[in-house]
Amino acid sequence: MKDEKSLFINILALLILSFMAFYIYKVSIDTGDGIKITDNITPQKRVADRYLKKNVVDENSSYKFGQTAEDTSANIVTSVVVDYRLFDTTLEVIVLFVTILGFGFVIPKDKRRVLKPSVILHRWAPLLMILMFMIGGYMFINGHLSPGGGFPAGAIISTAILTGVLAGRKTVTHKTLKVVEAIAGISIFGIGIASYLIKGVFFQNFLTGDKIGDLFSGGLIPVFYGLIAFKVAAELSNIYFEFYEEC
Amino acid sequence: MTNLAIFIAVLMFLGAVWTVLTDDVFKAIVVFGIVSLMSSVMFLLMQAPDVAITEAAIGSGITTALFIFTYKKMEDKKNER
Repeated sequence: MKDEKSLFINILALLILSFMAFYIYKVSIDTGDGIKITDNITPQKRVADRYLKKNVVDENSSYKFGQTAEDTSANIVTSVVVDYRLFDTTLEVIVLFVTILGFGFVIPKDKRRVLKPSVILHRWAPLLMILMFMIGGYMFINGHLSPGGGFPAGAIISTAILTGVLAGRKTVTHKTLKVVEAIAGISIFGIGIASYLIKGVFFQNFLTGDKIGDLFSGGLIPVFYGLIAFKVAAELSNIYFEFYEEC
Repeated sequence: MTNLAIFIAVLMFLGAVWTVLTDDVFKAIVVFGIVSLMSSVMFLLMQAPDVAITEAAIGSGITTALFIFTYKKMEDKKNER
């Protein structure tokens, strides 16, 4: 009975694999007449064309700011990442969440003694942590004006928490991390649903009409960046606690 | 500027080769972090500051920390046996 079941599963897997292989082959020999969801053959309708027309290499090229989606933030990369491609960023955060979920299952909790840190690290850690928290906060508050963003900001904040963990300082508890992560994750999708109800498109920026370059400009971009930063920081800090916990 | 870029590229190449060829795992981890830092400088020279910040924070900060944690756990397991 068991053999028949495994044989059936093997045949099914072979079928699925051949199906995927067929499509990979079809895509590899595709000359551009396959399935098209959007019109991406006409060069005037592609996003790349718009970027090529307002490059920064030529000194004489200029761009007139209107009220389109890419004008909402002073940093053009941010408006691409958070306005056009917010699905990418959100799914990256979800991938990180699933990774940490699997991490908690796989890594066994074993008892280990944590060595006492040196006095210098123990005394200097709070000062370093304050500086790191300041840089991380600056990254996601100013993400729409200068280089930076939610993901590196979360990474820098989690590095500050790592310094605290290594120095033997109690910074945050497991429960706080879980609550912060849950609130941030729910808020991202809550704002997405809200923008669907207001504008009709998921994750569309519905706060427009502010001046470019101000601290409170860019509509929803700083809000999303703050939420992503807190989610990433909570998730990455979870790993350190998982590894370096005193039982 | 080009000379600096070539210098950094050569350093990256040597570090990558060293990472693969060395026997000591700890040295490999540290040199791998240095390669990440060099690539972040490279991104900055190529005028991509956003990517440079992300590379510096994740590639050379968090990845190195996680590798060192894993290395320590492996050593603990080795000592138990």
